[in-house]
Amino acid sequence: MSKLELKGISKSFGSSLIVNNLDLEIQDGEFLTILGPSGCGKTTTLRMIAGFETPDKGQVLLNNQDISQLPPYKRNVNTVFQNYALFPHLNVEENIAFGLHQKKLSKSETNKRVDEMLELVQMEAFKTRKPFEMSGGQQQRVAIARAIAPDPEILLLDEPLGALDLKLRKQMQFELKQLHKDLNKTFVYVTHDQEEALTMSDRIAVMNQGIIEQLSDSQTLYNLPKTKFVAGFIGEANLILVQIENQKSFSFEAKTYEFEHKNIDKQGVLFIRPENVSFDAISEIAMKVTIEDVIFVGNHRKYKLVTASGQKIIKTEDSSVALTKIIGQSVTIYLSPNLIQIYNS
Amino acid sequence: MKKRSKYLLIFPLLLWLFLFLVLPYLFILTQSILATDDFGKVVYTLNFDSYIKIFTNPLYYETLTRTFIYAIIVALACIVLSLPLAYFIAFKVTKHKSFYYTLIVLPFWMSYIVRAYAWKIILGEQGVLNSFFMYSGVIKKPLSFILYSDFSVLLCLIYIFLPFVCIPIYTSFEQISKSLVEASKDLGANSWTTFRKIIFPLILPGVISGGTLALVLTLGDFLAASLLGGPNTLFISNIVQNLFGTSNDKPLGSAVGVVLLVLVFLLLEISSRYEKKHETQ
Repeated sequence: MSKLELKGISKSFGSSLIVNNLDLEIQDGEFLTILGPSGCGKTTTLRMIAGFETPDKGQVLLNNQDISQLPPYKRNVNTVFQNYALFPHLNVEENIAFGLHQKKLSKSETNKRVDEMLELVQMEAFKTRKPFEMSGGQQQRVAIARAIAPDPEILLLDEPLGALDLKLRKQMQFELKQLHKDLNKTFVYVTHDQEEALTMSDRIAVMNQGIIEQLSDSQTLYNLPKTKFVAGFIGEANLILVQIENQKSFSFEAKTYEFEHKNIDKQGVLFIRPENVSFDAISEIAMKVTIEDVIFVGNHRKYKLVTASGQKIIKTEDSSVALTKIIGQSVTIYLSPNLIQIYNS
Repeated sequence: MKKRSKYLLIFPLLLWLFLFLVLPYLFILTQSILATDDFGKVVYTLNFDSYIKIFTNPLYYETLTRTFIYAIIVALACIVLSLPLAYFIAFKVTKHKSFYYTLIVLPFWMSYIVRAYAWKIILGEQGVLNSFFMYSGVIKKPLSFILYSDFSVLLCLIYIFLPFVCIPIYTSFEQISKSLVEASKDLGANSWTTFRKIIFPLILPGVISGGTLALVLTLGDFLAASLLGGPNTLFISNIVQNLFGTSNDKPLGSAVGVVLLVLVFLLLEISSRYEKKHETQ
């Protein structure tokens, strides 16, 4: 069992607060991704788990033991670095064996483990190569093998695919996911690439300005973002300005709709994904709009809609559905209450 | 560009090298296998006596060995002093790095002789060091052994050649990415192991090239010994100077020069082979 817990950790550099009183519990064997724009504190959070930074406040608990003050070499966690950080003077075999030597493994054990690792990342043929004799993708595989070799309780990955080209990145995403399944280890993955996060993770923690805005699985995160930031950061979203009288309803263009929410401000923002906007009468929440444009985008088509007060709404639908609407036509759209959210504006 | 015009462009450089490098060496080489008459005048007969003298007369081979030992001491001392200094500037200094770097290079702006004389002022019997010790009551009589001794010569040479060693070492430190140090610690190595296994191997080419430079420069130095040396401090270059001057045995002087040159070439070759072997990009 390896349970990782961050309890109220904060970290400042100079006068700027990078991580702000952050709590996070990571389950055993989980693939957790910390997702956020650059400068949101995700890498700093990872570095505090690895031990390269010490939190100003709070605790990092590994199996209920506070490791926040331990140096990196005393923590049973390993990191895959963004720039690979392979030791340039050592060959592939020596790079992978480095962590094993520190664990004082015998020669035969070390050799066996190195071969296992090389097989795992399919790099057997490169055993005696030096890092500069390999491509970025190959170096990344070695970096992963090196980090896994000492059998850490938790594997930390700091934007490991950031430097690879798109095609290789897709392939490595798949392989990492497979690796996670095979190893049954806890992975903490840091990225700013939402698609990468959505495809690979069990759970995603979306970070912004030093705090976690939402922690949930990919699907919940996509369909029901908890905050306006998350809604805007992930995927495409319609954010429609609405008026609020009480927590049981909202009004839009002089019509009041019943909808329970927790918002207390006078003005709110209604969220709905473009693909969830419907032309069928599936709900009580109905709005009159005019079709401004219809754009064909391969596997789907995009409607640009405009309301009476001039607010823009995007609707997408599968291009296999027959096109029955024309530009300039007035239509009614229906929003399912299960698929909308209301945030403070 | 046509081939011929390429050669035309490089011609001034080749001419320069021929006139001021190749020609003098050829001259020295030729002179080293000539003889002298009773008055020290060079006679044009083939004669290897000079070389035989170097390897049979203890004055020559012992001085050559001693100079080598001095050079090794100077090179090692420069390396030992440079390592923490360069490490500090490369890894610990975050602000005003160029200021510290300039401090290392600063002595280059002054002439060698001025700096050597400065040590005379510091180390002499009436010098700064002795005055300070007398004043503070550590000693009653001024120490006389610190100037005009092996000690003062080596001290001066170490001081003069330190930047030559420090700069390549500093450059190699600078090239080490911080993430390599982090990766090493991440994989369980403490600071000392990280230095031994990761940092030191990566700066070794810099250490070798800096050390070789100090070694070679010390081998050819005669000023420090003549300004600060004692009666027994004799560098091989002092002998060469003497052979061309008062002793007036130009063939022997040339022969010593040739032997020294061959040794230096050997050293440079070994050093550059080592660097090639440890290339990392």
